[in-house]
Amino acid sequence: MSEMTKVRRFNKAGIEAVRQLLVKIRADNDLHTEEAKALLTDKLLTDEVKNAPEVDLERTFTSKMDMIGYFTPIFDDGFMDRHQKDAGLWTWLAVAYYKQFLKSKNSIYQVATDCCWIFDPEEYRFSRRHFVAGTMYLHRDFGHAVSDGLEMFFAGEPYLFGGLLDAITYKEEFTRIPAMLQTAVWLYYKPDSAKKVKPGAATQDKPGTVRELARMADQFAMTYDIFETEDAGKLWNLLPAQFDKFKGDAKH
Amino acid sequence: MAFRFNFTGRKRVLEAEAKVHVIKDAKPLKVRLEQSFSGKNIYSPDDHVMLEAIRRTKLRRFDLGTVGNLQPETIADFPDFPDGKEVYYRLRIFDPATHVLKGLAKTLKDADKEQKPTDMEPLLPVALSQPEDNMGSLFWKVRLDQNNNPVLVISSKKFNSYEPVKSAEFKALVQPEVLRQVLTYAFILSAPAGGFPEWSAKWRTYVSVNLGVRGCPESAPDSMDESYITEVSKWIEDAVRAFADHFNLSGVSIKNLTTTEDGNE
Repeated sequence: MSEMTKVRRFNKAGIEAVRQLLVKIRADNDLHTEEAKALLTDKLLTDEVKNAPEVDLERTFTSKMDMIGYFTPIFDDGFMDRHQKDAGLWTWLAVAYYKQFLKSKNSIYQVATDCCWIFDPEEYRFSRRHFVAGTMYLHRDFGHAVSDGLEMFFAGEPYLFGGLLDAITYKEEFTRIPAMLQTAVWLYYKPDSAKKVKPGAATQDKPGTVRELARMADQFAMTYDIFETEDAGKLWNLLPAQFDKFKGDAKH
Repeated sequence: MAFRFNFTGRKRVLEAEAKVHVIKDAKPLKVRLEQSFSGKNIYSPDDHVMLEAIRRTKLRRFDLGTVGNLQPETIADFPDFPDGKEVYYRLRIFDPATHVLKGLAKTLKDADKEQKPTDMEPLLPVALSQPEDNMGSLFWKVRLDQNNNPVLVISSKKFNSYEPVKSAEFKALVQPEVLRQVLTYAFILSAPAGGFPEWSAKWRTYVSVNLGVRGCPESAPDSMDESYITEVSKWIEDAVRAFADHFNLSGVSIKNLTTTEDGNE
């Protein structure tokens, strides 16, 4: 059964209460369901959001892409622009769906670091990892660059922040260059696999991986002007031999 | 092995040669580029010029045409940016045939915007470690070099926010040593390498004005001798002690590590 609720935002005290909730979940290995639910509507800890959209708090996300698919029509471009620095709102959304961002291993909840829950818009390295805001803003920005293969970046469970996405978003430069993102899709996307990524694409310290591509992004941007998605073929042809393993026989 | 693109002879476009003026009250963002670099003979008239507006992961471009056709002033529209808040600009000049960059202004800011105190560069920026910092098991270190401001680097493996750096405990345990390292590098270690770093002036001012400790050497000595090192080391010790007093660090209590004045934990 759906439970439609208007989105709210945590105030400063609310954000601190969320921090304490995370500490308790970690310490007690207990979901503290009632406390978490009460936080969302606590008048002392939350504020109303002007023209707030409604979300279904009972909605279950089968994957990160499913979550993106649910939120995209609800959070239009105007909403995304207006709330880009709204720490309280995005933190509220992470708490609203918090059970889906907890991984359980051997009956022990793995609670991700605070920056995945409490949105820090001032610090890109942290904000990109936020369960809701990080995902939605990266998806929006990547969507401007590539049309096919977006699922490669956002495959898996809603709580996952995989090695491929970590490498690509580690430095902002990579994510700004559509040709670079398109090249990453050409190199590493495997649509018919469960993880949507070629095996070994995000391995550390191996030639031709996405980590090496990410390391090249800054230097590439300082050397060439190959920017648009449609020019990605030029970048493809500049890639050194260690990327051949992932290039295969493809031509672009 | 990491692949490196070859150096291409790219030139730096100076701020004085390319000024970006954000047009007031224009929504969405509109800027006026005032430029003088196109008169330089280092560029070919056919070279292409692109102005980029950047905010975080969002980058949009405005095609300014070729160097040969570029006017001293051009208006550029960026409809995807509602305004110029937190936006900076980059200018690229490149060969359209090879796409090789020939000129670059890496960071241009609104030339008409006064620098507010909040925009001022901090004395000691804090950054999360990057792979090249090679932190190993370290919690923190100071990135020091002659040409760039010192940076306090904290391990991205150990920290997931900057909050701990602001804590009284961190200040008490770490910052005096940071100050010692920075001053030692600036006024002793780098002195034989052709003078104090440019950034050392800010630290000299900080120590003398904010901490009230005089005696900082005004210029690097012609030859480094023991008396210079002794004298400057003493000044550094005084500065570190004054720093601790200034922030009353002895009043900080650290769980499991310090005792109260009556000797209890």
